[in-house]
Amino acid sequence: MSGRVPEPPRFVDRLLRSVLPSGVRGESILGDAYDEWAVKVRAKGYLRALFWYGLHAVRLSFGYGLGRWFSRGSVHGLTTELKVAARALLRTPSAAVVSMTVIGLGIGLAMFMFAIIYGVFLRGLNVPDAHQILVLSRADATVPGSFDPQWSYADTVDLRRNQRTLNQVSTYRTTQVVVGLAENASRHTAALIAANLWEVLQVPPMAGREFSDDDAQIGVEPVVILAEWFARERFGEPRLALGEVIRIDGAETRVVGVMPPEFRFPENQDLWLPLIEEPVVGLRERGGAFSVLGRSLEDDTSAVRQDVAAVLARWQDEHPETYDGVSVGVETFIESQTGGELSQLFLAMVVAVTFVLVIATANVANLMMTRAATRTVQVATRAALGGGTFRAAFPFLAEALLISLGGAAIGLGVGWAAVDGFDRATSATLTGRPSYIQFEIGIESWLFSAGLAFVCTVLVGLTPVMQLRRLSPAVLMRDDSRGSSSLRVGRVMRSLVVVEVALSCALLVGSGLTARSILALSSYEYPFATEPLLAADIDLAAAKFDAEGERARIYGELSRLGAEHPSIAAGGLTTALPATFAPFSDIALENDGDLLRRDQRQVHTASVGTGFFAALGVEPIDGRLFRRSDEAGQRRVAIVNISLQQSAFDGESAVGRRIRLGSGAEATWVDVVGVVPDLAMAGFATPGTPDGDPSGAYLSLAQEEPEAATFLMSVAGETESATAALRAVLTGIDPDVAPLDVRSFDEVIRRNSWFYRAFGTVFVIFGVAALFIAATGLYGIVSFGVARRRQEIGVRVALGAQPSGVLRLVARQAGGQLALGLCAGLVLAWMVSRVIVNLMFNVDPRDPLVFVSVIGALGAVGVFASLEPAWRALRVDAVEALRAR
Amino acid sequence: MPANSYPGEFEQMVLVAVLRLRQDAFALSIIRELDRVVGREVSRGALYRALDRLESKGLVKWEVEEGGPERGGKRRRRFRLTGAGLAIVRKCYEAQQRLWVGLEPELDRGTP
Repeated sequence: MSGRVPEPPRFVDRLLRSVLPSGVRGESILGDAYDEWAVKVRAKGYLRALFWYGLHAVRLSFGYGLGRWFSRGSVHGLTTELKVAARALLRTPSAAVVSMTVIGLGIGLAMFMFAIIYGVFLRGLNVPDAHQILVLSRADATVPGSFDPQWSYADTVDLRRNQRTLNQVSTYRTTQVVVGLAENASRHTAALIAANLWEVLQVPPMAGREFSDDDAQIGVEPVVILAEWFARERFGEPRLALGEVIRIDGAETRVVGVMPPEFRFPENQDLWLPLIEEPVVGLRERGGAFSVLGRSLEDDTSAVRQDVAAVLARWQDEHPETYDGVSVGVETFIESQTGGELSQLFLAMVVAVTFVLVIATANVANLMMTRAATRTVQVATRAALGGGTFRAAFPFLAEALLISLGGAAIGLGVGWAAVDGFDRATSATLTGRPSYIQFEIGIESWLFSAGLAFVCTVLVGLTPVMQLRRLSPAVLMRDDSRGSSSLRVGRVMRSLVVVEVALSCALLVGSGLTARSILALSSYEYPFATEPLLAADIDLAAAKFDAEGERARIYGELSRLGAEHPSIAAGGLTTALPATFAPFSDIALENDGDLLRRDQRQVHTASVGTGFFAALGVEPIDGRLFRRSDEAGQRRVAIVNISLQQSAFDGESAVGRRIRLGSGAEATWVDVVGVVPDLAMAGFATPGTPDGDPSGAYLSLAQEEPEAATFLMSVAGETESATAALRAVLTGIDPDVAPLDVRSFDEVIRRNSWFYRAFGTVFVIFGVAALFIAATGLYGIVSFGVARRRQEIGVRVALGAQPSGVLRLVARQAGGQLALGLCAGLVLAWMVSRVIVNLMFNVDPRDPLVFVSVIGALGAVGVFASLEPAWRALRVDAVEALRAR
Repeated sequence: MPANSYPGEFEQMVLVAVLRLRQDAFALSIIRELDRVVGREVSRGALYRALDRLESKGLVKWEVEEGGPERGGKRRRRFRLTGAGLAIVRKCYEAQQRLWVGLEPELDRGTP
């Protein structure tokens, strides 16, 4: 290829020219770079050549520029420069500390953000070659919301048999099991896994064996593999667990293996049970709870996509009713686990932290400019002595380096504290955070902060250097303290401060909104007394409770407990506690024509027993509560909440009306017998979103017989005696039934609202950091303005200027930038508030109070930042100022 | 340079490369020559610095040549060994030759 090659970018040229020697020597080196550029453009295209050229320029600057510096043995070696810079910084220690703190805050928060993103998205599953693990995820266009069902068991069998592109396909289903009896009973997260999962994951047990195909047969001795911590806790030593028998969901189960400590696949599993291979008979179910994953040896996933799409297409031909609207995705494990809402949230955090870092860097660059502006004579002298302007301005780079190093050290501390705090705030016990997500300062974070410190050094140090380079020593000499217009630092600084104020404004609005939402959370008024409430889970999922009427019998006995024991004022069962997100169910109304899909909507549903509403002290608004006679075999009944009555029945009484809950074969018609107040059925989902719609209905637990429920009781005396009473009654009913995870209602709230608190606090910290940084920025610019115009102020005072006039002069400087920055910031803030809407609970994203407070706070900071320099300006002695030069 | 001292390994290579390239000893061609003949990838900064050092020691000198439009008209330097440079290269060569004498059996055997 011939023809004209575009010229290399100018700014890189400028950088090169500043480090290369003058004359033919430098010219020829630059010419060589041009030659190489032309070759690269021809061979690799413009963009890659551009990348190469930039990198090359940086390397050349370092390799040649600094090397030349060292080898020249000139008066000032690098160490001398650093010593001089350190001395200069020590002369104004407060400015140095502020600069380092500002950079430190920026780097620390960026490091924190990096650790979070790395921990969630980049760290990945802790198995060999994790990127090869692909999940075949099922999406269902007919299911609204984010809770897509996964594959049914029959689907997994077919997928494993018929796909051809993945090397080994396996399946698993997560579940919860009860381990032990009576007082020793505890609940654990488990996974039912196909025997070949180990071949896919390639992580062998640390002791014992993997599951074999024989373990997956019906009727063989039940076996289990334990997590390392679990084996250690129960048996002291993982190896000692092998061969022991433990009771899992009422079945004596033999321990055959122990996994290594870091293995908790897929999330926080404590134990693994073999998935029993059942023959597939009958109809294909629509969706289920099974995940399918495999290992791909190719980087290109398109073949896998085509392959599984073909399998799905065949299913759709054979069973259109089951697979209509179903599609299959091929994702990495991490992609399949994190998506949608979470990514948006992290995006918001990345934006926030980028803001902080930009502000911090701009600010310290600002302070450096102030230093440069008051030391033009020093620079000019060095330049005049033959150092070249770049070398003459090198002290600023050296100072920037020291400041960045100090900042990086502070940043490490800030970052470490933030990551540690966040790790605790989102601990697995509180949030159920999967084990593949870990927040820690690792080697990656160290490298990241080192990189940031380097970028800061370059930006902060080069800003004044680039400015000073334009001016000749003669101009610089004249400029000192006279504020000559030839020194153009003023304009750069002004724009930097405007950007800074705008960014802090946006960030502060974000933190104001999240802070308000944390407050809204703490002061949220529940329509019932939360203080005496205690919740305990009852798990009847084990096969031994499958017998006809067995669960109903146990639930029935529990329901009587509320009325019988003195330490329990009232108690009842529920499948979803108030203030937790109750699952959605389709609903249709009677007389709604032919029940077209468009008439269906989703409402929260929970099954509750008699005594549930009494435990909360809730009386019906209309109709009645559930009675003991609302049991299996009787007419099915429901109670709706006031929101559902208002939205579905236009405010007319719902009592006596019929509604249909559920869809397909599981849909049932129920009579509405009562109306109750809203009891936070949407949990802490953002109000105003579909998930946050409070409308809901309660079904009679005696008619539903769920596999697990929570006993909610209002405690009359001591918590301990109430718990003991419950435990005693349960042991009497069946030793395999125990109260699990006994917790106060405050704990329930804490576990369900950690999200707002953890992320809200992060935003508040970012906002406060930004405010601190903006304050220093404003102070810097006003203070600089006063320092530069000392002589001018002196003249004005000598000519009879009043103090108010001088103040106005100073204030005008800060006021202009503040106003401009606030205008831009409010626009930016409005956009930010759109992004963080998921972080807000019960707060309007355009909350006027927040916007007004932010404007007020920034204004106050502006005034405060101007006070000291203004005071200094007022005290300028005319005679002294004029004599200065 | 004192009479009994030798330049470092890299400087020796650069000197020999300049000698080999004769009329074609520009910075870029030196880099390519070192890469081609001894498979050594040299950073440009390092080469320029080495050339500067060799020049200050009086071992190389350069003459200016007008650059074509590709270089933006920028001039380039053609390097040449000075008399002293050539003498050093010869001295290094002879020293090496003497050092190797009688080592063929060891080298052939492949073990020390």
